[in-house]
Amino acid sequence: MSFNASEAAKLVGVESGSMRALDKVSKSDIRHWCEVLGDADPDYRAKIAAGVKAAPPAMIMVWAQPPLWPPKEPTEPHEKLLKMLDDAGYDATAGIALEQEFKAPVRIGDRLSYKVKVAGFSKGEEQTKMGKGYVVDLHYTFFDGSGKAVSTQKYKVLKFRVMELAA
Amino acid sequence: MDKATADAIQPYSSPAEVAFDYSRIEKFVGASSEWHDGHDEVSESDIRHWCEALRNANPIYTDEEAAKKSRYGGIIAPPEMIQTWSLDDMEWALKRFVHNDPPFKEDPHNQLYAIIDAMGYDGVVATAQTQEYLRPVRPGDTIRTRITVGRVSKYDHYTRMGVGRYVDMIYTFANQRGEEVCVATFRVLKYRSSMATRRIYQG
Repeated sequence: MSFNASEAAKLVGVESGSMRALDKVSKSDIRHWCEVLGDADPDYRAKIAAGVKAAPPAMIMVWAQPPLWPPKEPTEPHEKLLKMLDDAGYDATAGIALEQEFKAPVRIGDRLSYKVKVAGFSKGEEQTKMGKGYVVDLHYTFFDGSGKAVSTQKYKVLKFRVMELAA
Repeated sequence: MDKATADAIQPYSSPAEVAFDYSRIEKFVGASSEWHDGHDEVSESDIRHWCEALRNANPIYTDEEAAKKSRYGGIIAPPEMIQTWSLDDMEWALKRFVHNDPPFKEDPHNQLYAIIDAMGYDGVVATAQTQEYLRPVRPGDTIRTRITVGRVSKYDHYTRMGVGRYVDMIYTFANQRGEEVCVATFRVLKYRSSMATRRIYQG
């Protein structure tokens, strides 16, 4: 199946419905994140022990991760676009740019929700060093439990066809 | 003799005489460690990750509404997940598995292992595990653990891994109210690893 750019263009500018994070912001997930990143300064474990109830802001994308299992059918515009690219053979994914803006602290115990808007995608197939593909521009907005926006993010992903090795 | 030939000639791993002195470790049998707290409360997100990784779709672990209607009256943690709540954090895991510097060296089972290692039974392989679940574990609980040294073989076992002794550990898990939630046993074979194995570990 080839990539139908005019069909995909209908998804541009459309914002998804509000999606709820799968989990509340939890201390154990914060600990795992800090350990993996070696984030001792600021040391959120010490901060949490001292009564601070906020999560590391840079961690916000964690709360929007999809489940590992069971597989989910795409329902939102950005999911549909990524699926169209997958089906057209651009099934490898690389995050290539992320701009984050933090407006309010993320509280432990809060359950975030988020919306994603497809801001655009490459006009045509681009040749990159990783292979041929399309760059997709996604705009995320994160809300806390009371519906206040806590962060906006611009995320660019490259959906590409893995290059065949020269024989 | 060239080096390759010299390296290929290995001594037999079986000891000619018994090297294990049971009287040195007898005092640890039946001794318990202090209670050790888990690093985190039991959390719904950790339960969800576990269920997804194991593809366990039982709704009493992840679906609040369904769990309320069950006989537990709310979400519980999968009982098999009990050891998760007492796992090392990254710092301790690196010390334990990379730098051979485990925490709680004064615990009876760790003192026991140190002596057994020094007697030449430095290989270790897990051979059996049992878990008995006594009470449900719920999100928000804090789980603490105590390890008791159970039986240790009084005679050498001749196994395919080498000559070794079985060591039983009894893990007791309790919640923040002091109620026991699980009693587990863990049996390892401590064996005299071959020279070839020791060379790998010693570099």
